Amino acid sequence: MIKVHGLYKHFGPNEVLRNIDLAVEEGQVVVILGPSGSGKSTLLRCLNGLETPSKGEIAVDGIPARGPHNIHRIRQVTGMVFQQFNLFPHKTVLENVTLAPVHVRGLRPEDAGARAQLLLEKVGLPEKANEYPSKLSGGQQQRVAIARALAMDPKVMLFDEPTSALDPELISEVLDVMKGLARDGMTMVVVTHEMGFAREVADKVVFMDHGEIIDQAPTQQFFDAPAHERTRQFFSKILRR
Amino acid sequence: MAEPSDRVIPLRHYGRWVSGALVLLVLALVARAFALGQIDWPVVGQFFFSPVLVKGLGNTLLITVLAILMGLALGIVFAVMRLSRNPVTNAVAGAYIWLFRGTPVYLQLLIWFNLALVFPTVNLFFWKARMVDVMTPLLAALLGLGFNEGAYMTEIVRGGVLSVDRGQMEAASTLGMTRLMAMRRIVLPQAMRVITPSIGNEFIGLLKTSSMASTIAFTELLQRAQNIYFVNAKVIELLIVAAGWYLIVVTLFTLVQNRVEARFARGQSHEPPPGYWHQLGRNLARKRGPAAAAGSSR
Repeated sequence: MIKVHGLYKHFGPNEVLRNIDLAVEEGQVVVILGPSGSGKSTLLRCLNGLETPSKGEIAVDGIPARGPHNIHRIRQVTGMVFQQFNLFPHKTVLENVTLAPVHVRGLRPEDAGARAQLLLEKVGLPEKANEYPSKLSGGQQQRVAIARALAMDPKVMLFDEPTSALDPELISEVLDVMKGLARDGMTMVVVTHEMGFAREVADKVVFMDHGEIIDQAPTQQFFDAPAHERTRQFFSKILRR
Repeated sequence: MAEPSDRVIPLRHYGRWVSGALVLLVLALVARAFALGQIDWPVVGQFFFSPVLVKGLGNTLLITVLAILMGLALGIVFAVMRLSRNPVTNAVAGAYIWLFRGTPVYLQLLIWFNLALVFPTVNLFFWKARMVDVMTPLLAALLGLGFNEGAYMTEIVRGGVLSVDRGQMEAASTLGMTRLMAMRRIVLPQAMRVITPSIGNEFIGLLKTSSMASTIAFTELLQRAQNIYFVNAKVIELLIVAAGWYLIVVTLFTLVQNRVEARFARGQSHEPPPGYWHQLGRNLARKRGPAAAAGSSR
């Protein structure tokens, strides 16, 4: 479903991604871990064209991520959830979820509305349909953001640190929605610090540091027997709490 | 922690009462000076609603509204061009801003009005005419003020667009929206919150600048007031009439602007701030207490 080969990315003199090779099969959940500055968000953003690679190939659902036309096609089949939610504040929750289906896909407003209600139920927020995002808590906003991305029927969902901006009590409600998606067979690439989520749901875990993939393994193996010293160091810092 | 039975009593600020009274006294003296000065107030009343002046006001309003609308339309177009990654559109927009902000409005008006010297005929394939017939003072004023205003509006709109969080455009594009659609449906509506006060400013400014159109034979309010006092020598009286009308228009416009701002702030603020008069009433009605012994810093 997603193939990344020989990916390099630099911002000026700063090399942010170095020789990244990654493959994500359909229905797989891949979690990308790593310290800040490791390039994990940049890698994710290269997948749907929010960042342009300096070198290397990326293909999503067979579409190469080169050229505005192809990027546009990739964005029709991928959905993204952002750390800062990025809901449209001047639109109600329902309008947020139906906007793209109506204006990009050409759905009739009634159909889009009905589907949006179903999605809002799926994320546990059917009663908030006519509220504005500013009236919702962070966890609720992020769940609406997930519903909004799902409304476009993506084949792949990309999550960029979806719970990093949330209060601890609100994290689990968002993770529950994401777990539900994984159970339903969605292909997901998740950049996160939530180890518990990774252990429970991921099929494969990727560890990055300073722009390189240090370790890449099936979940069980990754957590029980990390192959690299750097990975072990990372765990010891995170699991200190 | 204060219990529910405790009341919060605002402090008394004695200094404020004293300085407020002094300012009001000065204003009263100034008003008295004008009232007793050599102003022929009946003439002010006589000419306030004179048809000549009201028509002049109409012209002023007409040209201001049209020029603002034209300026806003041009502003949005050129701002989007200026923000685009296409080097050609970007440069063209830059050149437009440079040219029309870089020359005086007066000069631009004169050029538009005298365009017949450059292009004696207007030749659109389905219609031909002489430029001197087409380029009326109204059209010249509209084009001159409109294009000039557009250059300033471009920067205002661009500033507004830049003020919208980048994540909004990113979210819109990841949902499959083209840049243009994202601009139209997501970014520009949010930019309007920041743009509207500046548009209000421009409107009020243009209302006064429009008096320059009188130099190209467009008879608006101020010039008509002048024409009257050239005849009856009541200079200050007529200027007061003109000033009164400008103030009335600006006041009404400000009320409209407040409504427009409220509409664009939909969903983004929790409560509108209380109106000035409402707040004043509340403040005067409240019981106040003396400052605590520990001292208040005000």
